[in-house]
Amino acid sequence: MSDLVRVSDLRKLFPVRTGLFSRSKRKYIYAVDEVSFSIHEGEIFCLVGESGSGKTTTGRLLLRLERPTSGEILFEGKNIYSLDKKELKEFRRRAQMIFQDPFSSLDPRMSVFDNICEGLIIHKIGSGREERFNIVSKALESVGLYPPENFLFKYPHELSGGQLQRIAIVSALVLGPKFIVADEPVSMLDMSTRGSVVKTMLDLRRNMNVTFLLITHDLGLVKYIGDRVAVMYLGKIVEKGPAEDLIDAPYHPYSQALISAVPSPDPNKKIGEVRVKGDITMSLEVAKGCRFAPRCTLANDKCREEEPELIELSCGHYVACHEARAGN
Amino acid sequence: MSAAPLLKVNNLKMYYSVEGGWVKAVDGLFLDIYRNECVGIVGESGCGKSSLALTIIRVLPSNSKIFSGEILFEGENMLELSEEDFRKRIRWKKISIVFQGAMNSLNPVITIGDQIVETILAHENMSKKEAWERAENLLRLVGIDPKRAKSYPFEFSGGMKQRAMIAMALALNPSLLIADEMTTALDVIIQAQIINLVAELKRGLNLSSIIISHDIPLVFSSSDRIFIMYAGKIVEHGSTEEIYYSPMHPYTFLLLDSVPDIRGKRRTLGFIEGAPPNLLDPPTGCRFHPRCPFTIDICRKEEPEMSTVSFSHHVACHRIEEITLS
Repeated sequence: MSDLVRVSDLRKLFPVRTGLFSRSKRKYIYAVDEVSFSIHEGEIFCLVGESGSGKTTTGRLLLRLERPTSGEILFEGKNIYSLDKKELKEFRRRAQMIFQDPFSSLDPRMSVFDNICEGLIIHKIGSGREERFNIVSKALESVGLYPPENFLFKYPHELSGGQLQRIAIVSALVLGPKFIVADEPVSMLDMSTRGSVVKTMLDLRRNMNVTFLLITHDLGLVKYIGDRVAVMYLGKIVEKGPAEDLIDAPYHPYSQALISAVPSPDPNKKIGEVRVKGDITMSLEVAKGCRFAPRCTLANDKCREEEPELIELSCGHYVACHEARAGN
Repeated sequence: MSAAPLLKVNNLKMYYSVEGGWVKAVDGLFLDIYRNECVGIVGESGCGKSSLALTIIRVLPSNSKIFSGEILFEGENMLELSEEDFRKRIRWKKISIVFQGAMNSLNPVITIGDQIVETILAHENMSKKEAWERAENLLRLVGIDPKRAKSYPFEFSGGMKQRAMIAMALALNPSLLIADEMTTALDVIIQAQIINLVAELKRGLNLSSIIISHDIPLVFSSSDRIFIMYAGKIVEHGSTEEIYYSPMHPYTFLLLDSVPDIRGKRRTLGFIEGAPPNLLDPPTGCRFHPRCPFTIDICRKEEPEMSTVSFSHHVACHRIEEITLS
């Protein structure tokens, strides 16, 4: 498998407003800090972490919705920050995003058809209303909204969350994308309809070889549909590896805490004791050592002094922790 | 389970008046909770779970109306009490509630400690000093250092604020705590800490609780019994084991099939096609029939009665004898 997206040493700092007359040096939040990973063609790569871990910022950087402070993002081998105008428009078509809230990502005053058609018009796909009508109808059918005539001329408020999210996916998929960043695509939806959106994503991958970056805090979902996963903490990747592998046997103390905190519906599998102190806190300065050390129960002097590197502990499974050992 | 339930809801009907008729948010609902028990209520958004909570604690909006039923708390019908009586004797003293995003209802310009003291003094006859001591004990109970009582809400993180709200809800030693999407806005680690806290409180204080959430793993992992709610009604209830391992109602079965289990095996996630019905005009017969794969004629015409599967397990479906769910 070849790499569709390659990210190296990506960094994004957001300046923090200090007092008007403050003489102190300008401070920054390290939203994403020296993150590197690659996404293979046709895979579902997941980014997980608590709120504030930098996972959404990473997703936005990958679609060129933000400019990185430093680092490089290659899409099909080309740096997305040095594309010319024509290449950029092509990139915009091939790399799409699905947002968390389908109620606000679709225009409430346009019908489903007009919402989806907007992208077709911008990218000059299909000529004339009739041809576009056929493209949209087919796409609606392909995501299980059948018969399409029942949906085409409805307005967003007439549809349920699961249906709207699938329509949001349709408006991305009619453009023939190669890569979709899905930022919490199901977390606003009822459990009972999440499966329909998940199925749509899996079908797209199977039939059109679409690659996904799935950003989520729902680790259960990652275990069910993810191929590989990276766990982020305060802007850093602390662990990455094959999804099932990592969730069943995490190495990093933070991943362990995160995973043990997720409840299981099976009444015989209770939540374990969560071995972690305090809350995630944004730090304005780069602290020395491991960023998780202040909350880690295993932290020692070395952790507070020296920043751990990502090392491969088992096949394809990397972890950045001084205390992690294989078979732990 | 001890003899008489702590809270018993019988045939409760609570509708909202809107343009075009009545929204039947709670429609002939039955529920019981025993002492020292944690009961979970599960359902999709818009099925009436929160309306039920609001009806029990009596903080309903002005366009609502209770049409029938009784809410028996320790044997006394709450619906017959005057507002004054209910406020003085029951709300916060016997039954209290923590909402989703309750942390945002803290007053930003008063310290956490003062807010708890204010609650205590509004209901109980004690000196300010005694109330402060009680407030500090409560904070300790929910895992906050009592020294932080003098902090303002903005100095607390989301999880700590939600803990402070729980401390406030427990300030008057209630016997029933209603947790309506209590941890929905919080990260999983904080959520787990709060769930473990509520479980400890149940053991330590003999507290009963009602956990209301759309997050099925969360409710199942922390409740003794589960009530499955659909379109204003309970369609199935039983012990958590019974509901999880042998669901009888097609809705329960399909709902559980749509939930990923992080400690289970990887499989295809199921889903339920369509959306919950509009409660302004709910379907005839069984309310789940338009989305149910097992619908036959009788389901469209007649409403199913609650039938008994075991001592604790009950289900309302016409076809439990004929269909096998697996």
